[in-house]
Amino acid sequence: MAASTSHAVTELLLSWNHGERAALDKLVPLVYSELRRIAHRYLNRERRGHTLQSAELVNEAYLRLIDASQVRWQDRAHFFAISAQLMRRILVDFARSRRYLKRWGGMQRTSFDEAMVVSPARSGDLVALDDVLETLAAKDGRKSRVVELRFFGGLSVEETAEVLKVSPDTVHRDWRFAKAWLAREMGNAGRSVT
Amino acid sequence: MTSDRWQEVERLYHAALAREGDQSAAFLKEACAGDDALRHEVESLLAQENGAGFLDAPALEVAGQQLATDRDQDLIGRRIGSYQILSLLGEGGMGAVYRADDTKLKRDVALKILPEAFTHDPGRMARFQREAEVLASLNHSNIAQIYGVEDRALVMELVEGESPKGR
Repeated sequence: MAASTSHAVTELLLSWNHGERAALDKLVPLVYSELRRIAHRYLNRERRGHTLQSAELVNEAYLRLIDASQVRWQDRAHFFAISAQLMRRILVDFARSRRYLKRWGGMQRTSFDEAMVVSPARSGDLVALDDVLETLAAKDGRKSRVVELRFFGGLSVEETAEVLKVSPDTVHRDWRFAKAWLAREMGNAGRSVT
Repeated sequence: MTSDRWQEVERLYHAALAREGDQSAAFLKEACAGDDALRHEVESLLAQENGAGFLDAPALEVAGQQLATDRDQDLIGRRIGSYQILSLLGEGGMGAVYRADDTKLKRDVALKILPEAFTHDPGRMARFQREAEVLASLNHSNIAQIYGVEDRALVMELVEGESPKGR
Protein backbone atom coordinates (compact mmCIF):
# COMPACT_ATOMS: atom_id res chain seq x y z
CA MET A 1 0.00 0.00 0.00
CA ALA A 2 2.77 2.36 0.93
CA ALA A 3 4.47 1.86 -2.43
CA SER A 4 1.33 2.55 -4.43
CA THR A 5 0.60 5.68 -2.38
CA SER A 6 4.01 7.14 -2.98
CA HIS A 7 3.76 6.25 -6.64
CA ALA A 8 0.50 8.16 -6.87
CA VAL A 9 2.04 11.13 -5.09
CA THR A 10 5.01 11.13 -7.42
CA GLU A 11 2.71 11.20 -10.43
CA LEU A 12 0.74 14.04 -8.91
CA LEU A 13 3.83 16.07 -8.24
CA LEU A 14 5.11 15.51 -11.74
CA SER A 15 1.83 16.66 -13.18
CA TRP A 16 2.07 19.84 -11.16
CA ASN A 17 3.11 21.78 -14.24
CA HIS A 18 -0.10 20.87 -16.00
CA GLY A 19 -2.41 22.20 -13.33
CA GLU A 20 -1.30 23.11 -9.86
CA ARG A 21 -4.79 23.21 -8.37
CA ALA A 22 -5.67 19.64 -9.24
CA ALA A 23 -2.42 18.26 -7.84
CA LEU A 24 -2.87 20.25 -4.66
CA ASP A 25 -6.43 19.07 -4.13
CA LYS A 26 -5.44 15.45 -4.45
CA LEU A 27 -2.39 15.79 -2.25
CA VAL A 28 -4.06 17.47 0.71
CA PRO A 29 -5.84 14.32 1.94
CA LEU A 30 -2.64 12.30 1.63
CA VAL A 31 -0.69 14.79 3.71
CA TYR A 32 -3.48 14.95 6.29
CA SER A 33 -3.52 11.21 6.61
CA GLU A 34 0.21 11.30 7.39
CA LEU A 35 -0.45 14.06 9.95
CA ARG A 36 -3.09 11.92 11.63
CA ARG A 37 -0.71 8.99 11.72
CA ILE A 38 1.95 11.12 13.44
CA ALA A 39 -0.57 12.62 15.86
CA HIS A 40 -1.88 9.16 16.68
CA ARG A 41 1.58 7.93 17.57
CA TYR A 42 2.15 10.94 19.81
CA LEU A 43 -1.06 10.34 21.69
CA ASN A 44 -0.45 6.64 22.13
CA ARG A 45 3.09 7.04 23.29
CA GLU A 46 2.16 8.17 26.77
CA ARG A 47 -0.56 5.63 27.30
CA ARG A 48 1.53 2.64 26.34
CA GLY A 49 4.78 3.96 27.76
CA HIS A 50 6.51 3.74 24.39
CA THR A 51 9.34 5.98 23.50
CA LEU A 52 8.57 7.29 20.10
CA GLN A 53 11.24 7.27 17.46
CA SER A 54 9.82 10.40 15.96
CA ALA A 55 12.63 11.02 13.49
CA GLU A 56 12.13 7.59 11.99
CA LEU A 57 8.36 7.95 11.90
CA VAL A 58 8.51 11.34 10.22
CA ASN A 59 11.12 10.21 7.72
CA GLU A 60 8.85 7.37 6.70
CA ALA A 61 5.99 9.81 6.28
CA TYR A 62 8.10 12.05 4.06
CA LEU A 63 9.18 9.03 2.04
CA ARG A 64 5.60 8.01 1.46
CA LEU A 65 4.79 11.52 0.28
CA ILE A 66 7.97 12.45 -1.51
CA ASP A 67 9.72 9.46 -2.97
CA ALA A 68 12.40 10.58 -5.37
CA SER A 69 13.43 7.02 -6.21
CA GLN A 70 10.76 6.90 -8.89
CA VAL A 71 11.86 10.11 -10.50
CA ARG A 72 14.38 10.35 -13.30
CA TRP A 73 17.67 11.71 -12.05
CA GLN A 74 17.38 14.86 -14.17
CA ASP A 75 14.02 15.66 -12.60
CA ARG A 76 15.08 15.18 -9.01
CA ALA A 77 15.96 18.79 -8.17
CA HIS A 78 12.77 20.07 -9.76
CA PHE A 79 10.74 17.39 -8.03
CA PHE A 80 12.17 18.22 -4.60
CA ALA A 81 11.61 21.92 -5.10
CA ILE A 82 7.97 21.43 -6.06
CA SER A 83 7.32 19.00 -3.21
CA ALA A 84 8.72 21.42 -0.66
CA GLN A 85 6.56 24.25 -2.02
CA LEU A 86 3.47 22.09 -1.89
CA MET A 87 4.19 20.86 1.61
CA ARG A 88 4.61 24.45 2.70
CA ARG A 89 1.25 25.44 1.29
CA ILE A 90 -0.59 22.48 2.69
CA LEU A 91 0.94 22.64 6.17
CA VAL A 92 0.57 26.42 6.49
CA ASP A 93 -3.06 26.12 5.41
CA PHE A 94 -3.52 23.42 8.01
CA ALA A 95 -2.04 25.69 10.69
CA ARG A 96 -4.17 28.61 9.53
CA SER A 97 -7.41 26.65 9.76
CA ARG A 98 -6.38 25.48 13.20
CA ARG A 99 -5.80 29.05 14.33
CA TYR A 100 -9.19 30.02 12.99
CA LEU A 101 -10.91 27.24 14.90
CA LYS A 102 -9.13 28.25 18.07
CA ARG A 103 -10.13 31.84 17.77
CA TRP A 104 -13.79 31.06 17.29
CA GLY A 105 -14.03 27.78 19.14
CA GLY A 106 -12.52 29.03 22.38
CA MET A 107 -14.63 31.07 24.73
CA GLN A 108 -13.43 33.62 27.21
CA ARG A 109 -9.87 34.36 28.07
CA THR A 110 -8.74 33.71 31.58
CA SER A 111 -6.39 35.68 33.77
CA PHE A 112 -3.51 33.22 33.65
CA ASP A 113 -4.01 32.55 29.96
CA GLU A 114 -2.11 35.62 28.92
CA ALA A 115 0.87 34.77 31.06
CA MET A 116 1.11 31.43 29.29
CA VAL A 117 1.23 32.76 25.76
CA VAL A 118 4.53 31.73 24.26
CA SER A 119 6.41 33.39 21.43
CA PRO A 120 5.51 32.15 17.95
CA ALA A 121 8.98 30.66 17.49
CA ARG A 122 8.56 28.57 20.60
CA SER A 123 5.10 27.38 19.83
CA GLY A 124 6.00 26.31 16.32
CA ASP A 125 3.61 28.71 14.70
CA LEU A 126 3.72 27.79 11.01
CA VAL A 127 1.59 30.76 9.96
CA ALA A 128 3.97 33.24 11.60
CA LEU A 129 6.90 31.39 10.08
CA ASP A 130 5.35 31.60 6.62
CA ASP A 131 5.07 35.37 7.00
CA VAL A 132 8.65 35.98 8.09
CA LEU A 133 9.86 33.57 5.43
CA GLU A 134 8.32 35.90 2.83
CA THR A 135 10.31 38.77 4.31
CA LEU A 136 13.46 36.66 4.22
CA ALA A 137 12.82 35.76 0.57
CA ALA A 138 12.86 39.46 -0.32
CA LYS A 139 16.20 39.93 1.41
CA ASP A 140 17.89 36.70 0.45
CA GLY A 141 16.07 34.31 -1.85
CA ARG A 142 18.45 31.41 -1.44
CA LYS A 143 18.18 31.34 2.35
CA SER A 144 14.42 31.25 2.23
CA ARG A 145 14.61 28.35 -0.25
CA VAL A 146 17.01 26.51 2.06
CA VAL A 147 14.42 26.80 4.84
CA GLU A 148 11.60 25.75 2.53
CA LEU A 149 13.48 22.68 1.32
CA ARG A 150 14.88 21.61 4.69
CA PHE A 151 11.97 22.42 6.99
CA PHE A 152 8.91 21.97 4.79
CA GLY A 153 10.37 19.52 2.29
CA GLY A 154 12.20 17.46 4.90
CA LEU A 155 15.31 17.34 2.72
CA SER A 156 18.79 16.61 4.01
CA VAL A 157 21.60 19.14 3.68
CA GLU A 158 22.99 17.17 0.71
CA GLU A 159 19.66 17.03 -1.10
CA THR A 160 19.14 20.73 -0.50
CA ALA A 161 22.59 21.42 -1.92
CA GLU A 162 21.69 19.37 -4.99
CA VAL A 163 18.51 21.34 -5.62
CA LEU A 164 20.17 24.72 -5.16
CA LYS A 165 23.40 23.72 -6.93
CA VAL A 166 25.61 24.94 -4.11
CA SER A 167 27.95 23.11 -1.71
CA PRO A 168 26.62 21.38 1.43
CA ASP A 169 28.78 23.77 3.43
CA THR A 170 26.92 26.73 1.96
CA VAL A 171 23.61 25.09 2.88
CA HIS A 172 24.85 24.59 6.46
CA ARG A 173 25.81 28.24 6.77
CA ASP A 174 22.61 29.52 5.16
CA TRP A 175 20.52 27.26 7.37
CA ARG A 176 22.18 28.37 10.57
CA PHE A 177 21.99 32.06 9.75
CA ALA A 178 18.41 31.80 8.49
CA LYS A 179 17.27 30.02 11.67
CA ALA A 180 18.77 32.72 13.88
CA TRP A 181 17.25 35.47 11.74
CA LEU A 182 13.80 33.85 11.63
CA ALA A 183 13.81 33.21 15.38
CA ARG A 184 14.62 36.83 16.03
CA GLU A 185 11.96 38.14 13.65
CA MET A 186 9.33 35.78 15.04
CA GLY A 187 10.25 36.76 18.59
CA ASN A 188 9.86 40.42 17.66
CA ALA A 189 6.51 39.75 16.08
CA GLY A 190 5.36 38.02 19.26
CA ARG A 191 6.38 40.94 21.42
CA SER A 192 4.80 43.60 19.28
CA VAL A 193 1.45 41.86 19.54
CA THR A 194 1.38 41.93 23.33
CA MET B 1 19.68 40.66 -4.72
CA THR B 2 21.22 40.69 -1.26
CA SER B 3 22.50 44.01 0.01
CA ASP B 4 26.08 44.66 1.06
CA ARG B 5 24.94 45.31 4.59
CA TRP B 6 23.14 41.98 4.75
CA GLN B 7 26.23 40.16 3.51
CA GLU B 8 28.40 41.96 6.04
CA VAL B 9 26.05 40.95 8.87
CA GLU B 10 26.17 37.35 7.71
CA ARG B 11 29.95 37.32 7.38
CA LEU B 12 30.43 38.75 10.88
CA TYR B 13 27.85 36.36 12.31
CA HIS B 14 29.73 33.31 11.08
CA ALA B 15 33.12 34.75 12.01
CA ALA B 16 31.91 35.48 15.55
CA LEU B 17 30.36 32.01 15.86
CA ALA B 18 33.71 30.44 14.99
CA ARG B 19 35.30 32.16 18.02
CA GLU B 20 34.99 31.38 21.71
CA GLY B 21 32.86 33.55 24.01
CA ASP B 22 35.22 36.39 25.05
CA GLN B 23 37.11 36.37 21.79
CA SER B 24 33.89 36.57 19.87
CA ALA B 25 32.84 39.75 21.68
CA ALA B 26 36.29 41.32 21.25
CA PHE B 27 36.31 40.35 17.58
CA LEU B 28 32.92 41.93 16.97
CA LYS B 29 33.86 45.13 18.74
CA GLU B 30 36.93 45.52 16.61
CA ALA B 31 35.33 44.41 13.35
CA CYS B 32 32.40 46.78 13.72
CA ALA B 33 34.75 49.66 14.49
CA GLY B 34 32.27 51.96 16.16
CA ASP B 35 29.31 50.97 13.98
CA ASP B 36 27.06 50.12 16.93
CA ALA B 37 24.02 49.40 14.80
CA LEU B 38 25.96 46.74 12.94
CA ARG B 39 27.27 45.23 16.16
CA HIS B 40 23.80 45.12 17.71
CA GLU B 41 22.41 43.50 14.59
CA VAL B 42 24.99 40.69 14.71
CA GLU B 43 24.67 40.29 18.48
CA SER B 44 20.89 40.01 18.30
CA LEU B 45 21.34 37.12 15.84
CA LEU B 46 24.01 35.42 17.94
CA ALA B 47 21.59 35.60 20.88
CA GLN B 48 19.15 33.39 18.95
CA GLU B 49 21.20 30.20 19.18
CA ASN B 50 18.61 27.45 19.77
CA GLY B 51 15.89 30.07 19.47
CA ALA B 52 14.43 28.47 16.36
CA GLY B 53 14.64 24.97 17.78
CA PHE B 54 11.36 23.98 16.24
CA LEU B 55 12.89 24.30 12.77
CA ASP B 56 15.05 21.30 13.56
CA ALA B 57 12.03 19.03 13.47
CA PRO B 58 10.52 18.89 9.96
CA ALA B 59 7.26 20.76 9.40
CA LEU B 60 5.32 17.53 9.03
CA GLU B 61 6.30 16.59 12.58
CA VAL B 62 5.50 20.04 13.96
CA ALA B 63 2.04 19.92 12.37
CA GLY B 64 1.51 16.32 13.52
CA GLN B 65 2.29 17.30 17.10
CA GLN B 66 -0.14 20.18 16.87
CA LEU B 67 -2.83 17.84 15.69
CA ALA B 68 -2.05 15.57 18.65
CA THR B 69 -2.46 18.59 20.93
CA ASP B 70 -5.87 19.35 19.43
CA ARG B 71 -7.03 15.78 19.92
CA ASP B 72 -5.77 15.83 23.46
CA GLN B 73 -8.10 18.68 24.20
CA ASP B 74 -10.98 16.37 23.76
CA LEU B 75 -10.86 15.67 27.47
CA ILE B 76 -14.42 16.53 28.35
CA GLY B 77 -16.03 13.79 30.39
CA ARG B 78 -12.71 12.39 31.53
CA ARG B 79 -11.29 12.51 35.06
CA ILE B 80 -7.99 13.75 36.38
CA GLY B 81 -7.55 12.75 40.00
CA SER B 82 -10.80 13.59 41.74
CA TYR B 83 -11.72 16.20 39.11
CA GLN B 84 -14.39 15.48 36.54
CA ILE B 85 -13.86 17.60 33.42
CA LEU B 86 -17.06 19.37 32.37
CA SER B 87 -16.38 21.89 29.61
CA LEU B 88 -13.71 23.90 27.82
CA LEU B 89 -13.27 27.48 29.04
CA GLY B 90 -10.42 28.67 26.85
CA GLU B 91 -7.06 27.96 25.34
CA GLY B 92 -3.58 29.38 25.59
CA GLY B 93 -0.26 28.65 23.98
CA MET B 94 0.60 26.14 26.68
CA GLY B 95 -2.63 24.35 27.31
CA ALA B 96 -6.36 24.51 27.63
CA VAL B 97 -8.46 25.55 30.61
CA TYR B 98 -11.51 23.50 31.59
CA ARG B 99 -14.32 23.78 34.05
CA ALA B 100 -14.23 20.75 36.29
CA ASP B 101 -16.16 19.35 39.20
CA ASP B 102 -14.11 18.76 42.34
CA THR B 103 -15.88 15.59 43.39
CA LYS B 104 -14.39 15.60 46.88
CA LEU B 105 -15.12 19.18 47.91
CA LYS B 106 -18.27 19.53 45.78
CA ARG B 107 -17.34 22.72 44.03
CA ASP B 108 -16.47 23.79 40.49
CA VAL B 109 -12.85 24.61 39.72
CA ALA B 110 -10.77 25.63 36.69
CA LEU B 111 -8.28 23.04 35.46
CA LYS B 112 -5.41 24.19 33.30
CA ILE B 113 -4.16 21.11 31.52
CA LEU B 114 -0.82 20.90 29.75
CA PRO B 115 -0.98 19.12 26.37
CA GLU B 116 0.14 15.53 26.54
CA ALA B 117 2.72 16.17 23.83
CA PHE B 118 4.46 18.63 26.21
CA THR B 119 4.83 16.27 29.13
CA HIS B 120 8.09 14.86 27.78
CA ASP B 121 9.65 18.29 27.46
CA PRO B 122 11.57 19.07 30.69
CA GLY B 123 11.76 22.79 29.85
CA ARG B 124 7.99 23.10 29.51
CA MET B 125 7.37 21.00 32.61
CA ALA B 126 9.74 23.25 34.58
CA ARG B 127 7.85 26.34 33.40
CA PHE B 128 4.62 24.70 34.37
CA GLN B 129 5.92 24.02 37.86
CA ARG B 130 7.20 27.60 38.12
CA GLU B 131 3.85 29.00 37.11
CA ALA B 132 2.20 26.96 39.85
CA GLU B 133 4.69 28.23 42.43
CA VAL B 134 4.31 31.84 41.35
CA LEU B 135 0.54 31.62 41.51
CA ALA B 136 0.73 29.99 44.92
CA SER B 137 2.84 32.90 46.18
CA LEU B 138 0.34 35.53 45.01
CA ASN B 139 -2.76 36.67 46.77
CA HIS B 140 -4.79 39.22 44.90
CA SER B 141 -8.47 39.49 44.13
CA ASN B 142 -7.79 39.79 40.39
CA ILE B 143 -5.72 36.64 40.24
CA ALA B 144 -7.28 33.23 40.44
CA GLN B 145 -6.23 31.29 43.53
CA ILE B 146 -4.37 28.06 42.97
CA TYR B 147 -5.72 25.07 44.87
CA GLY B 148 -3.20 22.43 43.85
CA VAL B 149 -1.32 20.56 41.14
CA GLU B 150 -2.22 17.21 39.55
CA ASP B 151 0.51 15.70 37.40
CA ARG B 152 -0.12 17.80 34.28
CA ALA B 153 -2.91 20.05 35.52
CA LEU B 154 -3.14 23.18 37.65
CA VAL B 155 -6.23 23.24 39.83
CA MET B 156 -7.46 26.78 40.21
CA GLU B 157 -10.27 28.90 41.52
CA LEU B 158 -13.00 29.29 38.94
CA VAL B 159 -13.47 32.99 38.24
CA GLU B 160 -16.87 33.53 36.71
CA GLY B 161 -17.60 36.28 34.22
CA GLU B 162 -15.21 38.43 32.27
CA SER B 163 -11.43 38.41 32.35
CA PRO B 164 -9.91 40.63 35.08
CA LYS B 165 -9.23 43.39 32.57
CA GLY B 166 -12.96 43.76 32.02
CA ARG B 167 -13.86 44.03 35.69
